[in-house]
Amino acid sequence: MKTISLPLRNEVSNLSNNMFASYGAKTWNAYDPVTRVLTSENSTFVTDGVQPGMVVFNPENSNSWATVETVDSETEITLTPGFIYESDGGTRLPRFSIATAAVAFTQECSDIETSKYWWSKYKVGDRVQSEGQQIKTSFNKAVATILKMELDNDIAMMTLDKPLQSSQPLWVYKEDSVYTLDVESVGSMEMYAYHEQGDGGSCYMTFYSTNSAVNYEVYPWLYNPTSEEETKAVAKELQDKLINAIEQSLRSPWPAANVMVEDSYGLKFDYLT
Amino acid sequence: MTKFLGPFENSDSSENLDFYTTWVNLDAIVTIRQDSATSSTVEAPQYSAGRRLDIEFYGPNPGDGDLPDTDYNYLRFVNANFIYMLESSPTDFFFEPQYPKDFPTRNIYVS
Repeated sequence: MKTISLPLRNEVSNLSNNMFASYGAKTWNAYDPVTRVLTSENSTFVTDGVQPGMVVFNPENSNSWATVETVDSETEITLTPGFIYESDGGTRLPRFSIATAAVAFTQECSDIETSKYWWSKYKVGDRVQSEGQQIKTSFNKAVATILKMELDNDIAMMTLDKPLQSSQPLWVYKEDSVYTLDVESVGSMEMYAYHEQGDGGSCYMTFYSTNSAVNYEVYPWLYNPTSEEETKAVAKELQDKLINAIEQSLRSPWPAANVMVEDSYGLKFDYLT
Repeated sequence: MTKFLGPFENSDSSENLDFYTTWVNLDAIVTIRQDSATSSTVEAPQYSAGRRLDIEFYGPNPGDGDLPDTDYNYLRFVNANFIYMLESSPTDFFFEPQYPKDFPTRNIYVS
């Protein structure tokens, strides 16, 4: 059987908010990679209490981060090297977040009852992802790994290898917990992309089964994309990755082959009957 | 053998983004038919599965309805593409539709 798989995500709620501050597109102006000075004209870093050592990261792609080296003025901070301030296409990142060094890489449960669930379900090695700073934009492209799980006064805490903001729920992915789709049973597949100015948009791929019993839908985590172009770009990226996985699976010389969809963390996978 | 023909693209609105992109698995399709030469729909039953795909042809612009009743060779277009897939290398799995010169539309919806 030729199959593709996507990771099954568990939504983790009851988190303590680990954010010290967050800054949106309208408040930060520039980052100079030579001087490593980040300028945010509408910010008040000194008044807010931003301190050297705090962790600065992009909540929609926290694969890299930097720390505050010096707080130069209300509107300027100097960062350590490594702050990625542009997307792959050269667009300035829409926002950045600051967390205190002590909590940037930890996620803490907010109550004892949920802590018991966390403790029983999640282990070192499980993968973790966040929704991004604003759920209306997109998910965090970074996928962190749990390095340590501990209980502190009956409160569960996970230590991660990447900073993730937890002002929104997190998703945890457990190894081998996946949805698997039999590619040869797909009668047709349809990508639908919709966007209306003022009404947001969406996109998703539907797999129609040849046996008419079960259909599948795959959604990228994308709520209210800000433009038609964004919707089209996300739809194209999703369809390319799904097709690539199907091709790899079918091309395998082995009678049974399974391929994980690239970057499928952050995707939602629904059954329709 | 599993092989996908596509993308077929259909734009349902001239005002908003309302866009369908579809790929069809050749596997299980044993016949293709059209009610009449001027019909805007070509049917591709997947008999083993009890399912039927309808390939619907619309005017070339987003939101267009059917083109006026004329034989546009829709059946021949689908047939040629399926034969092209059948004759293809066993290591190829996705095929872009081949459009004859002057084919009247690329606004095609598969349901």
